[in-house]
Amino acid sequence: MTLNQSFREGRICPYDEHVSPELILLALVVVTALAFDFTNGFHDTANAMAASIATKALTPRTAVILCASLNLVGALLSVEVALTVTNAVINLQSADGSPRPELLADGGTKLLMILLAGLAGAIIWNLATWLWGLPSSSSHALFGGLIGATMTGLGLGGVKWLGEGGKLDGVVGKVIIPGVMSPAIAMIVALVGTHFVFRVAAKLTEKYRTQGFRWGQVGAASLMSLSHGTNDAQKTMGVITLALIASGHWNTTHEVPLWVKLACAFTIALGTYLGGWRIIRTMGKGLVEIEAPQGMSADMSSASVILASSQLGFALSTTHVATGSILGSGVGRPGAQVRWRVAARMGSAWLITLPSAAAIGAVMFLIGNSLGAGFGAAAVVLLLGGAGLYMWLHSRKEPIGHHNVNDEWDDAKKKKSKQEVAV
Amino acid sequence: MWLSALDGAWRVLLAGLLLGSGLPILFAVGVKSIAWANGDLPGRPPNPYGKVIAGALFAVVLLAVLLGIGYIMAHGFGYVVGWNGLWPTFTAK
Repeated sequence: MTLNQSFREGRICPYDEHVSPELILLALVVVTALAFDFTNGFHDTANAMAASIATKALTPRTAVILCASLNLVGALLSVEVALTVTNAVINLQSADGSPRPELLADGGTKLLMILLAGLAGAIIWNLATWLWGLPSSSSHALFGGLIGATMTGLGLGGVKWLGEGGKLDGVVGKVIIPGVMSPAIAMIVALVGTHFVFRVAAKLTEKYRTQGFRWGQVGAASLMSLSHGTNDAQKTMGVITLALIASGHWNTTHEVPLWVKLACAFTIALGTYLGGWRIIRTMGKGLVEIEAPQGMSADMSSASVILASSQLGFALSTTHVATGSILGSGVGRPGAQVRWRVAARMGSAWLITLPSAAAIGAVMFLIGNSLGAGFGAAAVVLLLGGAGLYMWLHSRKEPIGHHNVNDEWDDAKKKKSKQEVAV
Repeated sequence: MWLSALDGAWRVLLAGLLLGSGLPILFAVGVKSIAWANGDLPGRPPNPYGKVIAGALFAVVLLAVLLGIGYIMAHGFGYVVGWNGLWPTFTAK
């Protein structure tokens, strides 16, 4: 059935009706989902491009343009519908992706409020980790926010903790186990690759070392960008389409509305183009000093692990893989210095990503739900906007952009005194 | 669940080691072969065969990258990528 048919059946009639609280709620869910898509873009630029920027295989500007274009192509290219994305961790949808019937009794209001609060939790956590310059998984943040909102909205039973019958599913199977294993796997792969690459390249002159490895690195980074576009933009498309179905504005689980697809694709590309420079800096300069042969090993390791796990149905986070690879390339290079303190800070951010986003999502749901569909949704979005503005203003105190992303990595104290001199 | 997690993990690790460690090593040998061809390796006379070797190695890496792109595109269009022993197969879901 098409949208036109549902119009005729009178399922939606936005033109002859006052703007209802439910419609406001839906509109705000769509806007918030796109805002999440945007943060998803700039949070993950580093995964594909941090190493290429650090080794100067690409200039910062070229890197973000390449990454954003490939994300856009990837997002537009995929026709497969990722409508069941929330099914990994919560019980809002049936197996085919349609909302559970019992959640439609109230016109889908509760489900929409859960989505809104969950997205708000994910965005706030993404912005906070960006401000701290820490790469953390956007999908963990999204799952965390949704879990928190679902727990307050539907109780503990709304959350899928374990997979059924030994299947790798639920919070443990799709988030916790891969979260522990994927950085380790990527680290081993990059370590082995880097070790042998440096043995092979030992006698090469500087010219071959820097120039020769450039193309391999750019190729692998491009693969990662393309793959990111096909995977991550789909998550937002799935969430928006779920909201449209729940509120009766869309009625097939086999297709995503074209405008949703276009909006998500362009938003993630725009976010990517903006570049999460603070995160790029930590990944490219903070963990290890990356030389060209290392950068190539790290990027090829990430691309292979990501594609292999996608083929084998093993869910993992691009961020964890990319970080693990860069660390591994540092351990594998003879005589390289790895800043384990930075790595430990990142590791602790990964541990608290899910619970933190869940806590924010839960509070947002309580606030939104107590005020009713229209006012509640507006309150959640205002809180989200306020938090976002605060963090953005805070980031301006110590701006990081393409001009200083590759500066030498100093300790916090040194960085301050250097800035004072510069000012 | 832990068993299926370990099962998935070792497969990913194996594929990762083959491609993720193997391809950079091939690429590095390719770069070294070019240096050999140009006579830029200390203690070795220039040898034009270096370029042939490098070309073959870079072709393997390029093929792997193209396969990667093919894989991402096939997935996007809802195809399952398989392997019949010789070449990759694409079947609609």
